[in-house]
Amino acid sequence: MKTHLWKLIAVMTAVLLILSACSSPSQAPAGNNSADNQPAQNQPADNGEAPPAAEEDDKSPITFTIYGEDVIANRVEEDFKGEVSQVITADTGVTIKYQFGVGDVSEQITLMIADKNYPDFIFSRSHVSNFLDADVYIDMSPLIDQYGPNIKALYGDAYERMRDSEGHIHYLGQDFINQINEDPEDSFEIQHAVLKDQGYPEIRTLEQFKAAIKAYKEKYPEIDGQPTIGMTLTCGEGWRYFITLINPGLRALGFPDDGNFYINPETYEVSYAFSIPEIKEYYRWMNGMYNDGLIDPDAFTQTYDEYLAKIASGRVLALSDGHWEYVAGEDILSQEGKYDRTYARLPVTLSTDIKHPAYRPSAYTPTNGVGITQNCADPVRAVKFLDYLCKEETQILSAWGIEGVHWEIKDGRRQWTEAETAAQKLPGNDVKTAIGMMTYPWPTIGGGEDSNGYKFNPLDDGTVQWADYNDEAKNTLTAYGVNSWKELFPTGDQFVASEWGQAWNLWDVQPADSEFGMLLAECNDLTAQYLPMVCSASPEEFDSLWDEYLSRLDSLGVSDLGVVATKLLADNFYVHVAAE
Amino acid sequence: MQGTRPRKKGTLLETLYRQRFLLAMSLPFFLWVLLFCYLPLAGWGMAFQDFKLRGDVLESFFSAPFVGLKHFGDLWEDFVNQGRFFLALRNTLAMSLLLLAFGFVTPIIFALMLNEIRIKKFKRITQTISYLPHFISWVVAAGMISVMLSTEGPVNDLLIALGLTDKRITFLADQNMFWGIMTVSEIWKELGWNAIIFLAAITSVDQGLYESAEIDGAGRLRKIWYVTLPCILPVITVILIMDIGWLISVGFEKQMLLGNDMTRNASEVLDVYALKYGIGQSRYSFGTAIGMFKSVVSVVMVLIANALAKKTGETSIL
Repeated sequence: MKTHLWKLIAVMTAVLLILSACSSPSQAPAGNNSADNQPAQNQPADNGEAPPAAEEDDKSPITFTIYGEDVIANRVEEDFKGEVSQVITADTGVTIKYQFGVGDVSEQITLMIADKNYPDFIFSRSHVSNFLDADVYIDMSPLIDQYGPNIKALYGDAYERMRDSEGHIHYLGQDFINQINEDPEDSFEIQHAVLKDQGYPEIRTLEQFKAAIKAYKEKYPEIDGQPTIGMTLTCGEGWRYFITLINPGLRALGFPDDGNFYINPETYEVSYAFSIPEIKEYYRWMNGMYNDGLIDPDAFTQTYDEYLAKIASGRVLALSDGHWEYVAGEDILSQEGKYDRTYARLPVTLSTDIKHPAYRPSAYTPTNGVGITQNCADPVRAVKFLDYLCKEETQILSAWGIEGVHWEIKDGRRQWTEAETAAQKLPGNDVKTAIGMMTYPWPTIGGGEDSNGYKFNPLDDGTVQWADYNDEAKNTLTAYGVNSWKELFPTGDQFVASEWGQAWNLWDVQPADSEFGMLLAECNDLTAQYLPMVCSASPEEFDSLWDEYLSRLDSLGVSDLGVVATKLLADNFYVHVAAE
Repeated sequence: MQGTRPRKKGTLLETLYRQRFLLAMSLPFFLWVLLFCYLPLAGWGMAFQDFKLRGDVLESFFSAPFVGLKHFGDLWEDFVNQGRFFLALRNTLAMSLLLLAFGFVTPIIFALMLNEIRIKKFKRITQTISYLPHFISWVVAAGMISVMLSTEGPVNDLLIALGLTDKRITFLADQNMFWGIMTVSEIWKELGWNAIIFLAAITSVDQGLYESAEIDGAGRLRKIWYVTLPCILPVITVILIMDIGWLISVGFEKQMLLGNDMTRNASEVLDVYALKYGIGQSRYSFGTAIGMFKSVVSVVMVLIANALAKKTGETSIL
């Protein structure tokens, strides 16, 4: 009996030991980290003995890790062994290892900051303020002054805009340096079948848009045996109501995408977009659409998946969406060959005197991008690597691949080689070549030409697009007498540029626990609640409901929100505008 | 008890020595509870601070300014002004009470009904089918419910076929229906599962009682009322006390998955509110204050329910 007990106790002790062993790994990484940091602090000191100017470029193998807040779809190359990546490694000795935000990104980032367990580079979008608060980024500007001539050359005028109010540079802007010549992302969309049936009418205003949808729906109440839907939205999940319910309202008035804000271009005064009187008219139009049965009754509650499923069924005549959001549903229609059910993109606005703002130019907006962290073992090599990426040759390499293998100069322009064109149709080719992997969010030039006069960006080429359109799209474009959707929209030179950049970025990076963050969240919540109610109310109730919405916005303190936002804009952008 | 020898009295140390093996065996569990249940309670300190995460957690915790009951004051002010917190609390309690009223009684009735079925096979199949939904996660269940209730879904089809309505109803966009949808879907999902414990209690009822009731001329319903129910009453009481303890923790998955902006006034519960306006806005102190409030309310409710049970002469579990 006694021996049994002792055995039991021995087992228990073993279990305890295992338990305590299990709990220690949580501390182990921290220990490893500090070990990693040791050389980090030594290395610059070692380098410091030799004057940096005389130093040869170090090409010894080194691995940099980068955390990307979004899962960037094309970063599937795990070991940095694609053809382009191998050239980059040969040139610099650098291997890049990616970590992506998965699951609850906020929690992941909070833990990362709490553990001080961050990689060499960080690319954050909406959590920049968390990283800035915790002082995670190093100030790159002195290093760039010394080692980064190509960085300065690439960003040009935008370089100075990346400084914060103290003159520090924490990250390099993620946006393309030049706009590229591509089709509009945001517009109002209508099926080619509707346009064809109506004989390609002129559709420039919301009323014309509605008339086309209404006429078609009355003529064909069913599509493939299911009821025809005039227009549908997706508002059931979190932020998605921004895209299909709020942004179209601003677009219809010709406002640029400054988040839910309107910025007066002369005074730089900011106000919450829904406190401007004109915007009511878009939602009055929506209300009319709803009461005429042209808006899907599930539009305000359905999830994104249900929304895509409806689009893919081919019975949704019109959308008010961004291309990136509805494209997954449209792709299924293309695969099934139902090209007439795919969508044309039209510059619809409230009235003909309003210009659709798709190509309204804006100054460079560097509110987030890739930055170097305090944990980076060798910030000098990191900056040199960024500088290497900004070189003209590297930009071409990242976007096009290797000369002679992936691209060649033919007929006076840079083109994919025949072998590459064929290979691009095969799955997994992007991983094999690694073309495009070192573009966004790394510093990337968008449009424009290199020193030999050839295009930097493969997408920046009208001829590529024409081949990509399906037959129905070509019919529609031909009927309207243009070669691309872009040509239907007002060109950039017709607008006064937004000197402040794209301000939606700015609100995005404000600390969530600030008063501004709270107030904005409350106002947005109220908007998300009232807009669907306003749209689906009876026409008689519309005005009183809208007034109720405005008075509740007022009682939340929407005017304070505007005041704080004006100050934020002044602190972050106006400084640069004034300095230029 | 009679028959046992009076306990040998000894000092505490002697008792400890005598029970040393038992103590050694319970030590890991004691440590587990200490580490995972009591140590985190230190985080409640945040509710009295203006906590901001700046680098190291512990450093931030010890350097955060003490603000006393400020966050509780904010909650109180919101409550008085009938703001978001008030609505969240109201929704939580309303949905809990609805669930307690209907979700507690239905499994008992279901168990009694199942018990009366004579055909074994039918009984088994019914029981299995009834508790299957318990094993589906809320994410899947919410997807099913939202398809069922969509304007083109089967529920609307059925109502139109029966001529009960001529206009398709947008169930999920109507905040007046939200509590009802929640209650019905929760009952659908948990009915069979919750009935298991009552079925088990019913099987332990002494068969002799039924026989004597029969001799006294009791029919089926009378046997249920005078024999089965009184015999399982202790189990019912225990379950009720435990359910009341959970009253304020109605869960948040289903509200989050089936709620939307249009029904927010009815669907936002305390947990969702704490998530959105606490952690979601990096207001850890505010979130902690809500969590603390919830815990305190839960404890008070359990104590009240327990005292009530004691008073009515039934069992108590504390």
